[in-house]
Amino acid sequence: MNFRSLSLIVSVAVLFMACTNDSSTTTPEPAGSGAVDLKIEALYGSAAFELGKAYTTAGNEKVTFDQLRFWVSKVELTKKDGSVYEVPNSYYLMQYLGKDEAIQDGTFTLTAGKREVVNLTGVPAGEYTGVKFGIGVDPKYNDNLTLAAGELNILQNMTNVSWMWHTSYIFTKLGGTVDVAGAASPFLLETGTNVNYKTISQTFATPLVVDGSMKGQMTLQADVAKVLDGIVIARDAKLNTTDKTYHINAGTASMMSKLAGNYPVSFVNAKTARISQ
Amino acid sequence: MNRRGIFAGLITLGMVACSPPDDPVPTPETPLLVREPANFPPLPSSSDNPATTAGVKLGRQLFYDPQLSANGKVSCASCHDPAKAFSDGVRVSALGVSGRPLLRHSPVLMNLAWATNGLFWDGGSKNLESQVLGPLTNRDEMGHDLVVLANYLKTVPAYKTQFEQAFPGEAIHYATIAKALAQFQRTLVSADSRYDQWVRKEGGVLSDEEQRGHQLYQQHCAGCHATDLFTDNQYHNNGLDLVFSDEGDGEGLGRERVKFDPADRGKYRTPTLRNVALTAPYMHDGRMDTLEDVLDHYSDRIKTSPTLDARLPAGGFRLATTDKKALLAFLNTLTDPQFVTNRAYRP
Ligand code: HEC
Ligand code: HEC
Repeated sequence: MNFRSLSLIVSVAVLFMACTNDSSTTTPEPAGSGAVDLKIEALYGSAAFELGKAYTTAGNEKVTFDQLRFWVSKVELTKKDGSVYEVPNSYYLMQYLGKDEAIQDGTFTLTAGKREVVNLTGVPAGEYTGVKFGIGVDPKYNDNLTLAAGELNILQNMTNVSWMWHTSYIFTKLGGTVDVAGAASPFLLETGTNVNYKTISQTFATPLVVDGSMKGQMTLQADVAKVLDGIVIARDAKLNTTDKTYHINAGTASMMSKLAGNYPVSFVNAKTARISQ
Repeated sequence: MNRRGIFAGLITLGMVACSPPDDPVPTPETPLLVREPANFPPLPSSSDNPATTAGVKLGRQLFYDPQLSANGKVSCASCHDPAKAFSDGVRVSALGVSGRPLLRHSPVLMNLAWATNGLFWDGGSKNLESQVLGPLTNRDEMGHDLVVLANYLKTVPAYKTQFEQAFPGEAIHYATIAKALAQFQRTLVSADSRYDQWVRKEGGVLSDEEQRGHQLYQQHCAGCHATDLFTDNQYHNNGLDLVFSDEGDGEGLGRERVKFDPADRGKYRTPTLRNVALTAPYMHDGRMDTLEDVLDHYSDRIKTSPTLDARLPAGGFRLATTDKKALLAFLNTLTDPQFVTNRAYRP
């Protein structure tokens, strides 16, 4: 029997096994499994990141932000013994959005607001020493915009026609205005495409114990100042004369890669805590 | 029964076993296998979106429905006409909702189940499912809104039923629309030209001149227009230009626009030669009106630039007039009348 027919039979067997109408047979949660929050706090330097506040970048530009959005993908928790728990369907859109955004020609509105916490449930009991996740969308899902998992959805203004030329989600977006010769000019800095999918790996100062009795909390901080490290918007982004906006995106590939490379470096201070449920 | 037949049977069995006892198996869910002609390379699997009878039927209906566009006037078939092997006969189309001419020529659609190395002339799109979302939303093509479109389809009873059959338990939304269109397009198989009947020894006859043309094709063209798909699905610079403009979004850069590598400048995906007599004009921007022009290009007008493919000699192959005639005769044997008239591909 060759490999192909073997795999066919295996997949058919799986098909048979997978089907059941009996909900009582769903896998029981292991005793002591619990809820864990993953929180990503945005910072600017050492203070909390705020939309609408004037900052000066390392490149000495005056900027004000109106949005920060990015995908968190494939969250994995590392146990003390080195084994890994991969959170199923873990695709989340984190965001700081300053104002409602009409998309799809106004048929759909993204509401302004802050999303910095992801609630994970059913995390198996154990002692966890670190967390790993992707910024962006991993190639399997990024290559096929119709595959469903977690919060993945192309109607979130995290891809558009110009990105579909590359079949990619927009992995990260940072937008606002920058002072150029005394006037505030809009900018929109985006990353995407498989080569710019980055993983973040953080070890906790104190391991997190999940035993079902208390809720776990993992807090990471992302410093937006570091995201702009080495980037001078008015110099490195491309000014589009139609929308009068400075862009970094697939049309400025090397700057986009530099920007994408800054995201992992911006994550610091992985901490854990246990709070009552 | 062959192996694939057995597989289909097993799947059906699997579904029988899955159904609640009183529920008969809905036949629309029967897996639909893409035809695999004996002279083609093995069919790549499309496990993420396996075709079913209902999915393909729905995809066909969507393909021909102008209601998929913002102004209700443009369907996929506006630019992909089955009678022209799903090309459109013009250099660049201006039939989209905006009326603005597109930047590239509409390619043929056939044997797409084998096209697994990127779609579009520069390969920027990764698969048929994701590709569909481009024309549906592009302002110069169908310019539609994916939410409005899904909401509209939900109001049409016939579509509601068809979506339920094709994607049980899934909503009508962009993903199921795209999957159905992809399933239909994977069934577009052209493999019944006179050449096929000759090469598969099914009674097709090629004249001496056509056979000489076939030899010349093997000598000069088969390096890129490879296998009986007549494409290697790879990207090459076939000597059309000396310089490549990076104006606009860089459409003129070819594959470099997608790969960000100057080594890919001016490279485009090899188009198939099947049905080529029906699909003028030619090349990514439709710049050549006739096959004679194309043969003159390969014979004497190859332009040398740093990324010119090594298979092409500087200047060209210097084909004799009789060689060009023979090549042309051979290219004409690749016309597949069954493909362009197939009822199963029509609305
Ligand atoms: C207004 C004309 C127009 C319409 C309408 C249109 N297309 Fe196209 N299609 C094109 C052009 C032009 C290209 C090539 C674009 C490029 O390569 O840059 C293309 C490329 C494609 C490809 C890639 C083929 C290959 O081999 O690379 C597929 C598949 C396709 N279209 C399917 C569709 C479907 C499905 C629809 C309807 C949802 C559709 N098209 C609507 C003009 C159109
Ligand atoms: C080095 C690879 C290569 C070789 C060798 C080659 N071609 Fe091509 N051919 C291409 C590519 C790539 C294109 C598309 C170029 C573009 O659109 O910019 C193409 C386009 C064509 C087209 C236009 C098809 C369409 O649908 O627009 C025809 C016809 C054609 N070639 C015929 C031939 C013939 C006949 C030969 C041999 C004499 C040949 N080719 C040799 C790579 C090659």
